Amino acid sequence: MSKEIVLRIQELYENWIKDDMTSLGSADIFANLLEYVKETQKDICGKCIPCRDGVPQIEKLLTKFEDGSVDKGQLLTLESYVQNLRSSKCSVGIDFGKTMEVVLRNNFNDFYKKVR
Amino acid sequence: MAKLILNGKSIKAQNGQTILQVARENGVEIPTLCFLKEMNEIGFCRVCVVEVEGEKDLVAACDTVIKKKMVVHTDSPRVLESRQATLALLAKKHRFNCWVCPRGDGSCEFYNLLKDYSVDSFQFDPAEGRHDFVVEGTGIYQDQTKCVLCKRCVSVCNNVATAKVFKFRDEDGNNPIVSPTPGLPFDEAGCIFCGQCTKVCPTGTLAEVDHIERVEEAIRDPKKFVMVQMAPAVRSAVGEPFGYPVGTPVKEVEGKMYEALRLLGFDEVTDTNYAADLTIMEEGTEFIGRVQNGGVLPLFTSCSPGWVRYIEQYRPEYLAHLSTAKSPHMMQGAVLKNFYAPKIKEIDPKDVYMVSIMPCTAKKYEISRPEMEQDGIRDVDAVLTTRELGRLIKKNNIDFVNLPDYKPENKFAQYTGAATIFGASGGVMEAAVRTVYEVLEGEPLGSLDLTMMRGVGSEDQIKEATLTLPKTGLDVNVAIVHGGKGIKRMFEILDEGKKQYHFIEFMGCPGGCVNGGGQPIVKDDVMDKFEVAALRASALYGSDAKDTEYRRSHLSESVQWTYENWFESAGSHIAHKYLHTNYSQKKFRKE
Ligand code: SF4
Ligand code: SF4
Ligand code: SF4
Ligand code: FES
Repeated sequence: MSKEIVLRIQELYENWIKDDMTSLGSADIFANLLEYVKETQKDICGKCIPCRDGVPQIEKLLTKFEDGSVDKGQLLTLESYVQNLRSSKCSVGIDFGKTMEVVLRNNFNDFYKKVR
Repeated sequence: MAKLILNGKSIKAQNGQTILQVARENGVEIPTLCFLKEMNEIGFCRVCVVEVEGEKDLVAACDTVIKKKMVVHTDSPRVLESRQATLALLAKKHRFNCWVCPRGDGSCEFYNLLKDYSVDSFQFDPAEGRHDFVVEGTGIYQDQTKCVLCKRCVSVCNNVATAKVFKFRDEDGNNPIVSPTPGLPFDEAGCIFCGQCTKVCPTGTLAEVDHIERVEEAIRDPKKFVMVQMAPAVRSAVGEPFGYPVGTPVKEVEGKMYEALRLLGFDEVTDTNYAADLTIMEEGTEFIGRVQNGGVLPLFTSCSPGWVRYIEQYRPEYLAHLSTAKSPHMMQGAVLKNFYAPKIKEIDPKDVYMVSIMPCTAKKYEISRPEMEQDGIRDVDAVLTTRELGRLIKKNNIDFVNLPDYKPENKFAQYTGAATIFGASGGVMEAAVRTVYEVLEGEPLGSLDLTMMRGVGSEDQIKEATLTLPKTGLDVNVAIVHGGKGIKRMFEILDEGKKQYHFIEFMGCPGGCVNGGGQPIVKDDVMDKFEVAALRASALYGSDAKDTEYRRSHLSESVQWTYENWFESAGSHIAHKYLHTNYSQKKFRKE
């Protein structure tokens, strides 16, 4: 178990270096993310399911986080849809997913705070 | 040759193969939704994702080519979770009403995936459906609340039917739709109603227009005398929904089929095979007439309404070639309603309700053609596909497998082997040649098995033969064309004008009616469509060779009786009134 955690921290660290989205501040985090989703949506081609149908669901969930009304199940669902973007057909979905993965890890507190 | 590791097992595979191919060859199951072999390999749905060691992202098995030393996991937790999430996303955009859905009989691939991956309903909202309307049509319809956007129908309509009716449309960014020209029903969008798309749709989005309800209503109505008939090809597959293997001999299921229809409450069971023999007399006579009187040649057969729609929409300049003979079940309806009912049963034709069981979705459209009536009496009132018949039998708790055989005694259920083979590509031509040869030459053909007319034929789905009539002094060039691909190619040949044909059989569906759009669905990873067609055709050819007393249409005693008593002779004035029709150009709009 501890080995797994170490590995995960390493991965997190690598991503931290690579990806500047990780420095998202807590203030307005959800508004910023929703902005980011909107930008991404312009590039979505609508062909594969994880991205075409996943991103709108992620958006829906982020709106709920912004409103401050989520439960734990919704947080898990959000994680699952973010993870699932790794199955997208092209880099639009995959890249969006990678960024969201890092945000979810590094700003996990901001997400968890909203869970009642 | 490449070596790779699949789920921990070392295996060898051909270079260039996809992960999906290798897995299937090695008995490892990977689920698919959008994939159709050699037809729709687009990698859209991502249900087939697998994990490849060393890659951070999951890859689609159906469009990822193997590499040496690849290590593939098809069932790791990550893979299973992804498939589940993907399916849940689809489910959020799906309106579930499986109990009234045409695919609620266990044949829905989407439903089966949701089951396999335990997608729980808490993972989706009260499902609304991707779009909330139905694209109507007289043969098929498309319920947009159930579409999973797999594009299979697009590929099949483009490549098999060649009608190019569907498009993947994505005008408003994130809300794509697969549909015919927006705002138009299928009737006005270039569709030929072959129904091939309804067989590959993994959901109940595309299906034949339901006629079960109106048939049940007619059966319940005490004032209606409800008659039924079934096409040659129906008996090649009617047992499949009840577990009989594809290609089950006709003898094993035909009697049960008649009995099931009787139990369903039809007042009289007849058989379209009777009118198939009648069709040969009418079409054969028309052919001989055109040869002897310098009429328009080649003559095109007209029994496939999908094909008729093709020529009416896409090649109207050739309409004069089309035989004016109605298709067999329309003839059967006209004879039963206008002659049998009033003259023998003493029933007013207005009280007769005619139901046809057909392997075909285009027949549903065909009965709605305005020409198909005389003196206000419609030829046929409802068409059930073979699939719908299966559903109706199950709904009525009829134990098909254990039914006794029944054989209707009336004249309109008697037929020759030449009629049975109508259901296979080449069968109409073979039946026509058996009769035309004998009429012109005054003696029967040496062998009645014209095997060169059977099977798929060339890669273009065309078969050709030359028939020498020594006494008549004529070499008759015939051709047999099946499926949109064959039709398209044949028109190229005809446009070139280099080859001279006398008689051409056209069928809208690849393999002929045995593979019609209304036949039971056999998934393409189980069996290729031409394999299915070949097995079902062999059931019909077997019946022709073994089960029937006569194998030439002109020997049908029922047909002879019909001419003696009602129609004088083939091609007579009165025969033309009831058994022939006309055609016209049909307009469509594609966008
Ligand atoms: S398409 Fe499948 S899942 Fe959808 S309602 Fe029909 S049977 Fe149910
Ligand atoms: S019925 Fe045939 S022509 Fe019509 S949309 Fe389906 S595949 Fe195309
Ligand atoms: S109509 Fe059926 S085959 Fe066509 S895209 Fe939708 S689900 Fe797929
Ligand atoms: S089956 Fe492979 S992506 Fe759809």
